[in-house]
Amino acid sequence: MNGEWKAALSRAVRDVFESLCFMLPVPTNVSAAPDPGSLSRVILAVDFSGAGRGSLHLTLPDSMISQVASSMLGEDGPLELSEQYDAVCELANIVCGNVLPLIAGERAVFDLASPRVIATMDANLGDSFDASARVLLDEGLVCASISLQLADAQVTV
Amino acid sequence: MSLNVLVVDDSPVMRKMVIRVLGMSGLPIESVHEACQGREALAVLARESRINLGLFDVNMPVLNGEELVIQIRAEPKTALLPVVMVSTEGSVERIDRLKRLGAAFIRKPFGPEALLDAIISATGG
Repeated sequence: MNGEWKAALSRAVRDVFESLCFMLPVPTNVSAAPDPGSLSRVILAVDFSGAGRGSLHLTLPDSMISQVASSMLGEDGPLELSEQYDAVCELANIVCGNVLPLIAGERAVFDLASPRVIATMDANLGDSFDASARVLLDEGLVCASISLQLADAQVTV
Repeated sequence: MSLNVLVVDDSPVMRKMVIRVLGMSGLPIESVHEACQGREALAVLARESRINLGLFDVNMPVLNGEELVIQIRAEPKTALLPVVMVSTEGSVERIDRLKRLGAAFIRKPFGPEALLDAIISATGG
């Protein structure tokens, strides 16, 4: 199951970053990328309920925030910091909305809470999640992790 | 016919993104109005009679997108307004419900072509 969920996470991250930010994965072994724990990073959390309960965490380097926001909004000039964070929160929300049907099926109905930025010290990537995926983009390494307790045992991946 | 569009989303960033993609769609846009939730959208619709397309988020505080469409359909002046619902979460069940309300649906992320298709679906071509 974790391998399938990991593939779903990876696919959602790739699709969303490509569609919204025009950021493409680097064709290389992702294990060669720097450990995200060694970088200054932001962690975005999206809690959800409905067909299952859980949380998705999306982690990206601080240095990517302004690039992601500018790409999403098509802005060349500097953006307010609050707008940058709003943009990456929306990005996390969209990743979550795209990965859940890949895991739980198109008929599963979820309610997504508002995304929030959480302190790095509160996050323990990979340890408390059911699946994690790392996607290396030109702009940096993105990690997505999910904990999900489905309401029934059916998993459709 | 030029479009006068009402974009409703509680996220200013998402409104900005939707308007950006709308601008890239090639459609003739005369005006764009914004609201941050359903109740505010109803006020804008009451004030701006020229609005002839709605692009609504589903999950919003106060009055969500689905409730907004129900109220719009119940008001004779806006009952036939073409609506595209925009959401990150697009279960089959939810999409079916929205279709029964006469709304098209598009899941985020989307590009200009997908938005154009959804608008054509909502307006009946």
